[in-house]
Amino acid sequence: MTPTALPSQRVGEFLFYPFVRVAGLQSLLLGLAGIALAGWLGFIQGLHFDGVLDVHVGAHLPWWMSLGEGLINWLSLAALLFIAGKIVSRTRFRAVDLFGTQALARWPMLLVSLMCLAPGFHRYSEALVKALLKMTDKPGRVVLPPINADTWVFGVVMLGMLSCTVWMVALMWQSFAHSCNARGGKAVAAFMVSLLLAEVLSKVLIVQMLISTHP
Amino acid sequence: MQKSLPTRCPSCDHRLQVKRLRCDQCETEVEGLYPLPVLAALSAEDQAFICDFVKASGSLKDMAALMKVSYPTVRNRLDDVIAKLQSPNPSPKP
Repeated sequence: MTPTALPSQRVGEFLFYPFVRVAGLQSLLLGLAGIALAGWLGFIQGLHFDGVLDVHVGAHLPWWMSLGEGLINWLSLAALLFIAGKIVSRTRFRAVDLFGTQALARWPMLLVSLMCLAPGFHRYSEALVKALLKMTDKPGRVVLPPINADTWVFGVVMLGMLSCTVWMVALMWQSFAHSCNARGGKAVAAFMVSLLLAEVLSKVLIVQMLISTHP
Repeated sequence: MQKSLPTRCPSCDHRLQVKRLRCDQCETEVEGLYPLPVLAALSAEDQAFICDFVKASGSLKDMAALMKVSYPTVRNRLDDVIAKLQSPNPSPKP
């Protein structure tokens, strides 16, 4: 991109192609800071990143578990993509670029944890969970919480969550493609398989972490 | 106006060759059929990149700092140039 690039091009590059300018140790430090901050925000509001692509509201856990979830998610995918890169890439690439940009690719989750601080989101989530649990007790009758301001907050946050997840996957792909110079159908397939395996691996590791502390 | 060296045939896009060379001093002319040096077949941008790369002693880190981009961006650019140099009929397109 030239210095005379249009502002919209600069914004596009910042949002979807940040790794053209940021990689290596710089991206690793920024990414880890983002993961730690998202973990801390998750800890104070009972938000869980319990899988590479997952965000759920749940019980309050110790702070280090919230941080552990973020680190497990990052390392699961980065490690599998490193192996995939070694298989499909025809060039030499640095591990710090892949691991660093993968950490930075998770920064939309920081936005998600900020969005969930919106007043009413947790209130409506709890009401919804209660209603669904009642439905399990007495099947056949669904009584959803009444529609009010919280419902709209919940809807907007859910939409934001979905957008951020799609954006994060786009960044994860860019990180892999750019760091490993991986292109073509093989690279896409390797990324998708790695993402699916990482989702399973991260779930297993997070469950193991919970079991090990709450036997 | 700075003239650029044409390296591709405008008709079939194949790589051009040198047919005639001339000395401006004594006006001696040499005629034959000489292939262009492989670097001359690259685009002006790629040639400038290679010059900068050599001046930076082949350091990708220094090149990244010079171009204000990340290390893998330079590495990928270098891979593209290597692929063009290895191609039997490289395209000068950047």
